[in-house]
Amino acid sequence: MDYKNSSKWKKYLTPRNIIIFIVYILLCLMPLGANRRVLNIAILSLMYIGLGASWNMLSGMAGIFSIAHAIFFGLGAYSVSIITSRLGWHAVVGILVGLVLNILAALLVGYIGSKLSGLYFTMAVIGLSQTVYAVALQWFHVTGGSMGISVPKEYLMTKQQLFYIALALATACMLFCAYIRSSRIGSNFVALKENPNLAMALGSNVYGYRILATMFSTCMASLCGSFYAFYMMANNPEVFSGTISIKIIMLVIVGGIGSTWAPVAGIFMVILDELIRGVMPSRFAPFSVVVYALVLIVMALLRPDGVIGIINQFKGWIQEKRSAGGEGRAVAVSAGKEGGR
Amino acid sequence: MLLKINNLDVTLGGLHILHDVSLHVNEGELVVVVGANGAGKSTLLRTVSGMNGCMSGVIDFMGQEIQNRKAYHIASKGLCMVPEGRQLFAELSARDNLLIGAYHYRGDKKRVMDNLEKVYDLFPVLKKNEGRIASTFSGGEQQMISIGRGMMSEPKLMMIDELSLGLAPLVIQNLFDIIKQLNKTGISILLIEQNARQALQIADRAYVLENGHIVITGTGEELLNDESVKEAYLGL
Amino acid sequence: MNLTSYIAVVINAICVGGVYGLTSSAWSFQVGSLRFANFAYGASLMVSMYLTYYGLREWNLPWAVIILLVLAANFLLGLVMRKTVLNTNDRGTQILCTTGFSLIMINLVTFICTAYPRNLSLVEKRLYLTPDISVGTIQLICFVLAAVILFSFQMYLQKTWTGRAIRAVVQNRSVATLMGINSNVILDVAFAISYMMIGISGIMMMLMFQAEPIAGEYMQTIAFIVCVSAGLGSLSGAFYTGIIVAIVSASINFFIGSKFHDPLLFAIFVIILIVRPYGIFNSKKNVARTL
Repeated sequence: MDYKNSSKWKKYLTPRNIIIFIVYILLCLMPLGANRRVLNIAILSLMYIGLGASWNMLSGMAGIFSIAHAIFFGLGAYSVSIITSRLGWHAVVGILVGLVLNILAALLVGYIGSKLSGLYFTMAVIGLSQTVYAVALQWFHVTGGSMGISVPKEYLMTKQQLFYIALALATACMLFCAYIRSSRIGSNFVALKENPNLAMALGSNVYGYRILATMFSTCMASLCGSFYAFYMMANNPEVFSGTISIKIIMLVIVGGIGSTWAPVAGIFMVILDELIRGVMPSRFAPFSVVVYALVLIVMALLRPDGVIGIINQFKGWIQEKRSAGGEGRAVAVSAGKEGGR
Repeated sequence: MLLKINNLDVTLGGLHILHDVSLHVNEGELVVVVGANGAGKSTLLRTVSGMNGCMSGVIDFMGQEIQNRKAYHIASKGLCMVPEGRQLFAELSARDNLLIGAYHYRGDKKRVMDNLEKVYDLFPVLKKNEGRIASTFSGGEQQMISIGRGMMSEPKLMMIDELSLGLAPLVIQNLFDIIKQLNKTGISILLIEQNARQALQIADRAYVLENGHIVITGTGEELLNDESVKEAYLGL
Repeated sequence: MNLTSYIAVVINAICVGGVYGLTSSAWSFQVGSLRFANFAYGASLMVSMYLTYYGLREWNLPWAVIILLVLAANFLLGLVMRKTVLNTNDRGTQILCTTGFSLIMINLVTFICTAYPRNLSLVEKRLYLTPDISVGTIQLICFVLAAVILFSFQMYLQKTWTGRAIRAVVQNRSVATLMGINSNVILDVAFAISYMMIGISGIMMMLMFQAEPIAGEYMQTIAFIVCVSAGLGSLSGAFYTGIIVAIVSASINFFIGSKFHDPLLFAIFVIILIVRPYGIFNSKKNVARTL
């Protein structure tokens, strides 16, 4: 962070933060003026920011590559649908059940991750996702099979209500990630990614932090999934699909994997995708997947540090030009570091 | 001159390993480079064989400049390398390991088989066990496979990296004799060794490499009797 | 539910398992030997299936042309993939890019051909071993062909110069270069050849099952199960394990019912991965931790 020696509140008065504040105010005012379609896109995008933050904590911060994040998302969604619809209990119970299921999933995935690495871990996760998808498809009695189940009508909310919930969700997830990142727990997550053996040798409970990171991530995804259930008022097994998982990965990688602001930086891809799909006839819908899969591949191969990486490089380049000729100052370095947080 | 290295500078991973190294090997010679661990001996061979690039300098082999060229070109030019630590194809049979050496002229079946027979004549133990997987052989036998593999590529110059690493003294002596024999058949040899005494005893000429610099050069005899070499490398 | 019908099921499963084995061997070779984590495998299989279907039903091409078409297309696909999505040595990026590539293929096929399942609707002659037990001639041919192809591939690797070079590059890439082998080109060739095996598998799959855009994903998971159980990189092991997996799969369907087949099979897979990731029959080194 900038080392300006002023009082604490002035520290936060950087141009970047001011812009963020203004954008946020505009967002809060959005439901008052915008039309239905724009609101829909905004709601989905906010949810994806939450999902992106969830994935980024697991894969970007802790280095546990989650290729089928939709598992956790779908579990949260189905929990709400099943609890409210089949059992008739209150929505909050559904959300809590979703969280519990996802904590269990986190324990399983964390355990698998501690025994297997890299390729084998990915295969196990894919196997897990296929299992969950197959159960959702076959267990007609509980999950409604391929048609899915709907949420009872009394839970229908207005677009405005959904928007503010989504905004709160996205904000909470991002703030949580930022908080964890700057805390001791976050350092342990990063140590888990960078050099687990060294971390273990230094006394860090690597296994415990792995489980913790997975739990945080799956719970965030669970909340987003539960929200999705109320947004769509219905669920089908497609919530477990690879398309959603890849979308999440794509938006974080485009944003710049690992950096806290990545989900926000990459969300324009999701917005674009929704906009395009809105104007194209449904027969062309698969094309949007083709496009963002291509973007994912290109970014992963050429610029894994994403949009934020590009911005940082640009900032550093400008700072270099400014202090060229004079004594080299630490400004260029700190500008780069600050942008990366 | 078969191989001429002029003013070679090599940097690897940010470290400047070789400084202005110059050496040469004449046809038919057995040249030895001795030096302590970390002096840069392996880097020297790896640079000549094309496995790393150099910052500046010229490596001339039989009139052609070969520095900074891809490693798979050198085999057909008559330059072969017997790498440090044997580096066999562990899961291939001894026979397959040897055959790979002949890859660059694999179309000529007769030539391949003739060369294989020559290798078997030199190392009869390999012929006996030619079907066995390479990793099941002893250290000395593995070194034989490695040398044989090098021979199969019909080299004019054979570069050997650390012949004696990890082997028993009797085995080492046997191998040095074989190297001397090979040299007599016309193959020039550039040998990198920590084991200074035995290497210098068979050398025509030798160089001492210290911290990436060539510090002494002369015939094998001269270096064996040189006071500073004796103190630093021969333990006297 | 009697013995003869179970035997018929098992014989049928063996034939299908042969094709599973062929398919899985190619993947095992790519991932275990060449070290290319190819998660676009299922999608590539599916594309070959569609090519076969269209060649036979829409374009009315003779069999020879179809086979050549599929082989050539797959060889090219393999080369293209090596140059683009698999142009990295980082395992995670490989997985990510091939998964993305797989989605591209699936969605392009969905767009062009729609998701409606395609079936060759072949009338199959049955071979009667006993009055009650029969096996389809197509399946039998596929089984035999799969075994022959796999055996030929093994021979290719063992006996030919290129095969020897491939094995050398796989074991020690840098030293192979010293011997005059252009390692990158060899890897490209090896990958493209294994892709041709995918093509053949696709043709066989089309003869036995029906095609839809997500048909490949199931086969990819089967390949996972087979390869992990057999040990990655083991070719003949994958063949036999393919048969075993097919028998297990058919048995689950026979005794428990097809409703629980998928969840059960995949759950078994996850358990195998946790308990014996280096292969059920492989008591060798602990490959899982390093791969």
